[in-house]
Amino acid sequence: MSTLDRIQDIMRDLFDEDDLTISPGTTAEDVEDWDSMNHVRLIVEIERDFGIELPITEVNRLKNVGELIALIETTLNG
Amino acid sequence: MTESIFVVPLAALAIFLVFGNENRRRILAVLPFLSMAVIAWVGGWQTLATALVFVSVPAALAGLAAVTLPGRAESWRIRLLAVLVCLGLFVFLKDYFDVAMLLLPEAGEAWFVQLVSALGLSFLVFRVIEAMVIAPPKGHEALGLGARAHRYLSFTLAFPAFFSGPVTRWRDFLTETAADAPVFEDSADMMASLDRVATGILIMGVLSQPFLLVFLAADRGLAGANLAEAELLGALGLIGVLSVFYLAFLFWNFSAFTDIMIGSGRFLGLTLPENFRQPFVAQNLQEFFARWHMSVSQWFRDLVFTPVVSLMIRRGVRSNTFCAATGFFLSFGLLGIWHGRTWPFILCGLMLGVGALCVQIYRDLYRKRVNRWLGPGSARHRLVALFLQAATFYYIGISVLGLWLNAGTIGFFLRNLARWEFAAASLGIIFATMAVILLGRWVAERLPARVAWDRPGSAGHGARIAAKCLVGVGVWLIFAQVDESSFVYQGF
Repeated sequence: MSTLDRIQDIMRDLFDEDDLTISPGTTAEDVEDWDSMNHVRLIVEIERDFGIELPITEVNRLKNVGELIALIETTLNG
Repeated sequence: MTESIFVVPLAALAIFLVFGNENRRRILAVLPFLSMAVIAWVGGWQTLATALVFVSVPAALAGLAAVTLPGRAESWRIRLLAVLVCLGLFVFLKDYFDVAMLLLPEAGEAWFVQLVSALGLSFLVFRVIEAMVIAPPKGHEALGLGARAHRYLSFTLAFPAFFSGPVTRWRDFLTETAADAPVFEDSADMMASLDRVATGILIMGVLSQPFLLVFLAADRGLAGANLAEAELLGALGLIGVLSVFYLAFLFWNFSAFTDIMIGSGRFLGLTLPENFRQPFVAQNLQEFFARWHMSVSQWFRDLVFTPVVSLMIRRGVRSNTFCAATGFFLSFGLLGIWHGRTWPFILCGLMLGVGALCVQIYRDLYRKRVNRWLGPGSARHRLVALFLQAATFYYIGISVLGLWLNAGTIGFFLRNLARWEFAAASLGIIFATMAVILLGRWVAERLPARVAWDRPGSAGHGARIAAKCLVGVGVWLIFAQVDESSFVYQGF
């Protein structure tokens, strides 16, 4: 399962939208419930799922899902 | 110190002319020392000495942790102590509990106030705390002690950001200053930076300075008026209208200062963060603070809101409302206290916290239903969006009354919040603001795009920059004869 698929599963569960489809270009503007509070919840869920700790200053600057994937993969590899 | 508005760009320009475009690394090498000279020039030697103590004591503690306690847990305890020492120094120097005033003789009180107001202490505390708690980028720890101390002093004392400039971020600063590049990519880049300084000076002189005098006079007039016997609708309406105008003035004042500092920073090879992104298009309070004084909002988001909320979620708190309430009240409460210790500032923090929480509750419970009812893109939706834009503007204007209005008048205003006159005055002001926004949009649609001579690098651009500076400084000098205060946030 790719990183994108895993994030999509987490987001579907978190935002309670079974048909939510995301791509690397998806932004918070594209997902109705993706506000600052749910962003924190999303990051906590991702950290739990991937078993990593993402740097706070970086997660608050992510522009889209593609940057989130890159940050997760950099953290996993490094 | 008002002088920073002129001293900072002049010093930055002089340093750039001495070192040249290709010597950015040399400029950055001498930046801490040049910054100390500029701080001493603007604020005096006592201000410089206090700033050095303020940045050195927590750093010495954190350095001690790094050297003696390599274990993560022990290191964090000392870093936490360093943050507490930094906050303790801040509380003492800002005299939150009147300790300094009690200790000082009467003659020393004015000196103390002058010292702290020149320091830009409230902005310095953000940078020191961040350097204590945020890990630097890879490679930084491998540097020698001297190199690390140099970068820390450059970060905390860099003079374009020192005097209430945008709050620079530790990791960004280290990454950016480590890159090898010329100061400017080309002459158009340089002219654009010069234009930014000139635009800031023009707005500060022509728009901000006259309005400041209006508010100083209004505050004095309202403080002397017998409001208890005034006609209530008129008195509340006047304060409400002034609060909206004050927010617009604050934007001009602070964004102009930011323009001057960001433009000046570029002449030293520094890219300071932006502070404003069209804040008045915001349709709610959360969006407003994502656009207003962004460098401080982002600091609170990264170092207060997100850590607190993520800790609560990790501990199993499921209620979004409870997490949001804790995060918002803590963030905005601290923001209010940071502005000042008196009750209008604390009330300001509380009002902003309540506003942000209401937005969150609406988002969690009603947004989807309301959006479905309104129909995206419909005329009804656009009208509601316009109303929310004006109402957000008004609510924030009311929240920040404590920044300019005397406590007695604020008390009168608050005592009458439950009266119908307040509701009527508020609705009138919001509808009038909506009309002004519509008018502004109509005018903006009809304005021509940037004219050719205004483009960076064009023949007339240099003359236009010079004209902006001359007009801005000229008007500023005229109004400075009346009252010398010109930058509101200098007081923080």
